[in-house]
Amino acid sequence: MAVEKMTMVNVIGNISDADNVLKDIILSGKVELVSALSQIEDNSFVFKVEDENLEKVIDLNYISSFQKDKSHEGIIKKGEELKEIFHIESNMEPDLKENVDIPSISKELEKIYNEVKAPNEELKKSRESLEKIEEFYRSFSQIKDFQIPIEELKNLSYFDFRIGVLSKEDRLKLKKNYENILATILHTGTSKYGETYLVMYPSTIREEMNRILRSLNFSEISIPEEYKGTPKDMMEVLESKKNELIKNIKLLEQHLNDLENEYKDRIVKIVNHLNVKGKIEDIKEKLARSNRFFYLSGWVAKKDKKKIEGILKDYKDILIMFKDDLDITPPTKLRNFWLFRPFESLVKMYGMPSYNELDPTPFLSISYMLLFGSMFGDLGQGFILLLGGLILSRKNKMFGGLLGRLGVSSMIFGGLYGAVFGFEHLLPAILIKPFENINTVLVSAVFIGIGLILMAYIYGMINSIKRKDVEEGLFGKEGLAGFLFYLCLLILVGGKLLNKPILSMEIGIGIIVICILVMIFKQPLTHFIMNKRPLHGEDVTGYYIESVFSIIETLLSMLSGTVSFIRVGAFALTHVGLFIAFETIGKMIGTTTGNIIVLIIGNIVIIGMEGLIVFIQGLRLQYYELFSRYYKGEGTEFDPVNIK
Amino acid sequence: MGSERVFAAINTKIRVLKAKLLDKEDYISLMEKETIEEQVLYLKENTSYKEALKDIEDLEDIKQIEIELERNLIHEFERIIKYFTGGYRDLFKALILRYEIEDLKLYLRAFGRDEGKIKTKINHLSLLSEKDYSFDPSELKNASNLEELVENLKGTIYYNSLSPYKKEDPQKIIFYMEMNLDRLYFNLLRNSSKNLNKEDRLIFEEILGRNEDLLNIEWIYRGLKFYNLIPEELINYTLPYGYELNYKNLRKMCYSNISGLEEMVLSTSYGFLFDTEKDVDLYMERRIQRYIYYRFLSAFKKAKFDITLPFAYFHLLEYEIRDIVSILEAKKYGLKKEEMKEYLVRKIEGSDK
Repeated sequence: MAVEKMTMVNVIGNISDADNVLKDIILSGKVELVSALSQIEDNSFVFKVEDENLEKVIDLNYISSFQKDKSHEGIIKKGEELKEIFHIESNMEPDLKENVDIPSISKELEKIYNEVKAPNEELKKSRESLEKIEEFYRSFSQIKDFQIPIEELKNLSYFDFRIGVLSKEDRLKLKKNYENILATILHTGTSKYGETYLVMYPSTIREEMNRILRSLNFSEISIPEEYKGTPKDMMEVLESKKNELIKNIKLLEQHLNDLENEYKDRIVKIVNHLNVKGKIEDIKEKLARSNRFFYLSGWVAKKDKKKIEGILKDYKDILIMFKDDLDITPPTKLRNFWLFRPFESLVKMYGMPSYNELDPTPFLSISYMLLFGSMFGDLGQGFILLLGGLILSRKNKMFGGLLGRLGVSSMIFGGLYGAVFGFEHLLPAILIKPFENINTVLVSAVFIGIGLILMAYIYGMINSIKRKDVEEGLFGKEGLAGFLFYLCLLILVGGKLLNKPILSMEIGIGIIVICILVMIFKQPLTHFIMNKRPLHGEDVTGYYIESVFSIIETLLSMLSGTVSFIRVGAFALTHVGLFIAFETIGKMIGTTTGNIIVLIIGNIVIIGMEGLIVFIQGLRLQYYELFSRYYKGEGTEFDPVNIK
Repeated sequence: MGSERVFAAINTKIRVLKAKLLDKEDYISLMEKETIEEQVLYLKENTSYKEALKDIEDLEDIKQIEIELERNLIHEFERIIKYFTGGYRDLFKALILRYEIEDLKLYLRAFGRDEGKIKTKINHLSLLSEKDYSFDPSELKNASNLEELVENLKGTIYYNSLSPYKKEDPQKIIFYMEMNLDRLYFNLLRNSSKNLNKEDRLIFEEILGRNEDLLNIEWIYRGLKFYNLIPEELINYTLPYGYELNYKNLRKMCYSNISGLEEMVLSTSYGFLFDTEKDVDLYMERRIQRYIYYRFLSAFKKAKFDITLPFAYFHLLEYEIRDIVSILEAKKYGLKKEEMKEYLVRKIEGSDK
């Protein structure tokens, strides 16, 4: 069986063990949790009432969900801040196995945080003031030829001055209207916020100037009181201040560096532990609790039952129950033979099979390899695909595996066709040379298609049986009626073509007419058999119009679906034809090197482009011609709890 | 052609939406209702605002009704945005910023007036939903003074426009901050129009430019007449990318007086602002809006595959909201039908041009 059988596991244990049980379950990676509260509400959380369980049953009446413990969110924030200060990016794999005491590591982190915080704040402040000083320094260096002490500027009775920054746009405005402004404006430097200007104006127009500067978004740099002397003097003062600050910053950086070396690994570890704890808290919301016990429900594969029991049995007072027959549909977990496993990704791309649906992976794998190989049969090119697949599988296991398997299939068909890197004459064909037997190739492609479609019908009927769907399974166009219809049609057409009637025309047409009638009346028929009344749904005319049209559609899709498989033969021919084209170009070039280069390019193009086209065409046949006949893909994927 | 691909679907959609706007009969019936309650009930029962107004319980709460209508507009905006990609999407996102800026102004004004009380009132006045803000509205609400509020905006596009003013007295400075925000908005629009197709860019630049022209005239006029601003201030706050009026024209206006300004405007295509027997001041804003409204209405008739239609639609919707609110307010103050018409953006039954 390719869809894993699932069972519901219900666990009740002492509330103090909740964290550890959850951790073990996460580590096992085999359980998908569902909300225990809703299980209990649905009365699905059932277990035997025995004396020893009595308390647990009683407590079921006082059930609530876990309150998310947010107490350590603050400390996690601090941890992240520390990581930022030290530029730590690495995230080690969280280690669940280690038992940690959350309060004590929280305290430890708090201690580290306090130790680091103070020097870091100071460093930040120092850097900021250094920046400011440098800005003043630049401003004053622009006016260093001023022989006037700044305090005298400040004390001027008839003039005011201001230093500040203007943006580019505002600068332009000022420039355009300069003739109307009664102030001298000196450009004194460039800072990271914009251009710095010194503005001087008569005190009488202070108010106007304030308003003008405000309308220009002038952001003023105020000069601290302690700055005295001429700009030159001030520059000296600033210079020494600057040096002092730089020295201080270096010291602080050194100190922080030491701290970083001392604590880095520890911080990463603690933050990881805390994050794991946080995630466990998130997951815990799926659990339910009473005052003394916790209640957990989840899906687990039947074959993992023993393992889960083994993991959990050592906890005191723990109660583990498994329950098979449930109203809700379990999630789907696929299990396939290693050869087929990469093809699961193609199935999932279309939709996950429902729990009670046949897993189409084996059929898809075999038929897809067959289709791909016959379209792209080449020993050498297939080998390249295989190599590519092997290399890729290190990074992307699914896709690499897929490519490798397709490569092998291509090599097998290459052997059958006798083709190596496009050359058809190096090897003898074991089976057939496609280009020399065009009709045979095309016809056999159609036969392959017919075979696959018949298989799809059988799959479809099995799925209907599993769904207990009488209407579709017996009378539907993908069910028994459709199957017989298609079969008769094939036999009649085949007999006509071969001039050897296998089935007499009358009987054949008789069966076909019966099938059509059955398909048209499928709903009333089903209701009749199942003893359900009324025979039709609400809209009777609508139903018949729809079903008559769907017969036409069925007929068309049978024909087009069958013919569609001709493409398999056509691509087998294209594959050869494309290479012949390159071969011809090569010969036209004339030189041996040229010839070889063209053939290499040709091979690359064929592997890359035609390979991709064939890949897509094969997928198209799977999805449209085959899946549409038997596969719904409406399941949900099994998703075991993890902390990723 | 790329423009068909971009606009074929969207323009069809816009036409359907436009058909849902109120028609003349709706306006007349609204004006003829006896009470605000009846008006609101009419909106709730007979118009496409049914859904938008379904939670309104107090039928006389005009402010809340206005907010619901505007939220509805933003919602439409967000729906339309989904049809655009690339530069077009960026432009429409920039247009939505206007509502964020309006909300931001609400917060600023709260500091300009009495602080504590208004802040609690603001809560249900915000137009966007919490997650759509580029800043954290709850932190702004908790700011205890203007500086804190501005610091909370650090990292957003608004910070640089507001930070020079953060230490000043709120009551005086709010005006400057609002002016700066408006300027920022128009510059953003201009910048985000740069990635449109050439054709669309030109169309948009004209729309935006004419809008800026009108706002500049209004600003200079009011500045000269009421606020007593100095010319340098006037010119510095004008919007830079006008369509008909360039910097030189504007500067001339700023350094002129009211009658000089009127004369200059009369020689442009915006002469309608002063070319009237009726009150200039009272109807100036309405005249501007009416001008834009009819430009967009006629744009609807010459439909091409360009950016005009979606842009026009949102202006029509905006003016519809304005008119609805005007009618409600007018009823509140007991205006007669004839008086009401004067305050509407659209002309109804031969109201003043």
